[in-house]
Amino acid sequence: MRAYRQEISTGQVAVLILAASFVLSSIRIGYIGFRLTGRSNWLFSLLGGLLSLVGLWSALRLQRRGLTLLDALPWSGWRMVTGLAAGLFSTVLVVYVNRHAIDLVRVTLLPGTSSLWLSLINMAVAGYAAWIGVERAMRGLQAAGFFAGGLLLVLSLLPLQMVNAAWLVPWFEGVAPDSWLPGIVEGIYPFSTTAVLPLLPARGDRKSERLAYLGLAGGLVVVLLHTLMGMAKFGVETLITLKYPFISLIDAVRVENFVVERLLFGYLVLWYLLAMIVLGIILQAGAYGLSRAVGKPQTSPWAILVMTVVAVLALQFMRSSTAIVPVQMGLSAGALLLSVLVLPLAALLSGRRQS
Amino acid sequence: MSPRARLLLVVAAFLPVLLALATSSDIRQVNRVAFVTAMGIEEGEEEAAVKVHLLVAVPSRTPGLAPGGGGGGGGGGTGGGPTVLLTEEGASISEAVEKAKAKLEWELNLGHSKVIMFADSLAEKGLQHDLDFLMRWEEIQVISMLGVTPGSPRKVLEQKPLLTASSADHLVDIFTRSGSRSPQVMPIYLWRFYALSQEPGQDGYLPIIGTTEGGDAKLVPMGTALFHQWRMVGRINESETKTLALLMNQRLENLVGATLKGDRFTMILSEAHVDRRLTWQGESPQLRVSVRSGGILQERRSALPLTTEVILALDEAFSRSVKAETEVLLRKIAAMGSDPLGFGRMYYNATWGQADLAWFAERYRKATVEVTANLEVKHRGVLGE
Repeated sequence: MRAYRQEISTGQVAVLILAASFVLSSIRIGYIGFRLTGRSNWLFSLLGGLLSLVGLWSALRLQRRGLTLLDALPWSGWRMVTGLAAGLFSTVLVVYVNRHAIDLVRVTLLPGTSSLWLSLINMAVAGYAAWIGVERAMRGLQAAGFFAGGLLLVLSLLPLQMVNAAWLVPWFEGVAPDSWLPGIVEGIYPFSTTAVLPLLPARGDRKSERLAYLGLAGGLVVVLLHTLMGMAKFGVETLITLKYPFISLIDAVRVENFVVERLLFGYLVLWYLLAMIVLGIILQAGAYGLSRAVGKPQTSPWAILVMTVVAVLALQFMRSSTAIVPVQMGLSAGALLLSVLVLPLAALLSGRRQS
Repeated sequence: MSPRARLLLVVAAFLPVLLALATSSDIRQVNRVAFVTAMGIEEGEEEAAVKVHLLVAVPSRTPGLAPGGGGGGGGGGTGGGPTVLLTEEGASISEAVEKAKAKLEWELNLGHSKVIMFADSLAEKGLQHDLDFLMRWEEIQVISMLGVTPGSPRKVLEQKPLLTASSADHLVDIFTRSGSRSPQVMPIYLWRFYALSQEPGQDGYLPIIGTTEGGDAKLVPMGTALFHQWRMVGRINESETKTLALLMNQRLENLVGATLKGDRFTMILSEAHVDRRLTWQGESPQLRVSVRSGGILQERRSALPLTTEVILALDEAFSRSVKAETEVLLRKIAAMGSDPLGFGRMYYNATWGQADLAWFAERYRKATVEVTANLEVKHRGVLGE
């Protein structure tokens, strides 16, 4: 049995980056980032976006030649190492996104639901999305974005009621030297899906590459909006005490009108849908890497199954400890390393090989 | 399609069933749940204890929720109103709530509690620990409205208001301004009070709601409690609350009165705009406030004709009146050491966050006040004269 074909277009890449930065920044703005870098946090988000630009540029350069990261260099050892690393990186990212999607659902939509149940359901949906192939999942994401984009935008801006612009000042503050690197790692986190992009076979022309850059720019706007809105609404002192500032931002919206209350419910359902598709795509990218590492030409459903099971077990294990923070740091550091060092190098070397 | 692929498809088709199982494993009928609609918190009788009052709505006594409830037929509730008031004491709020839960035959749900009232004596000692629980516990909505009661909150919660069935409905309607929009009440959300208490250079405030004494006891606004960080440091009355609402640029129907040549005039402020600035005279801060507003003349208890000269004189009289009230209020809140208008924040921002706020707080108490008020009668209602 083979999984379906998984070629995506550059337009879909743009939607993926945008949706993923919305989903990832929603579950994680502030908190650790604000503790590390204080009021300068938004600058670190900006820096994270710019570093991801390097990764995106390299990924598109590889894809323009019809290559993925795994084919960038001609040695089989390279394919094995990058494939296994991609599988590991994707699994950790999946665990992280899944954990926060579960927390969001448990706080907002289904209080008191067992996290193991939700984890199983999420991973089953994401595994299915990965199995039917990136292209189909992406079409779902594109359609959801097309119909829900406006609604999401309007509702995302609702927390702007009762903000204090004065609480944004001072715009930045000094950051201790030992917080710089973890600060950048935190900043790059919402864009970590750009790190799985070079694993997905894509088709596109130079013209449509502009769309992918627009997607990243849009993602950066979303992240900055979340960060600044949180600061102006709660103030930095409160923001660093809130574990899920996005949920708190939505919770702090009060609208008497029942219609808007239902729209907010719909908003969270849409958010959930986006999170599931993003999960599926990350899963597929990792499974493709794993399959290629063991010498299969296409994504094997067994690789998807293995990653799904490992992700569920790992999350259950992490729930029993507070090990998630170093894990998140590790995965963002991986994204950073991949985007800034490995990808440009691979892109350049693959160019030399072709010429 | 291979048999294995078919199996996977079947598994996928069962996903909705899984979802349904996940949500329905722990379901309760609504007439087996009692919803807390308002909470009251005060100090307990024992050392360091907390007394919690829970105003509980009983769905089975509400005809719309339970068949035969609301006294409309047999079964359902056991008689009485749609709400009951429970009081428990514990070493913490959650321990007191746990005791209340243990005594009830139904599930007690805190997720619909929209109002939380604190006794003034507790507020004076500081609300930091109470707020920690209320913000931390995800069942409590961060858009709950907070308030202070003179004495025990029980008196307020058990009061039957004039128009609504329970005090929770009354408090929700005035606090959310979905009902009354009186400027004598300055409502505030839980999340906002929490943020104001933590952010440097600005303080929180809570509305005070009490009961009138005597046979026709009812709920009345009694001004505003002013805080410094987590502690209540003083209170202002209803009329001062109106002025504070005006200074916070809350666009409400604020009525001002003035006396001209011994006669009384009143005006409703519209389009009010207030600027607040902090200036310095040496090491002494100066609170500068400028109030500009047009207004609609509402009542003339006078035989004076509304000529241009009289209108101009009225403008001045209203301006003087608002200026005097504002000066008194600013001096009063500064002397208390509470800063709901955020002058400390202006200092903090001007020094790019390097401010010594303790140093400022000391000087703020003795700050000089400079108020300019410029009010104009723009309309005279539907009488031309």
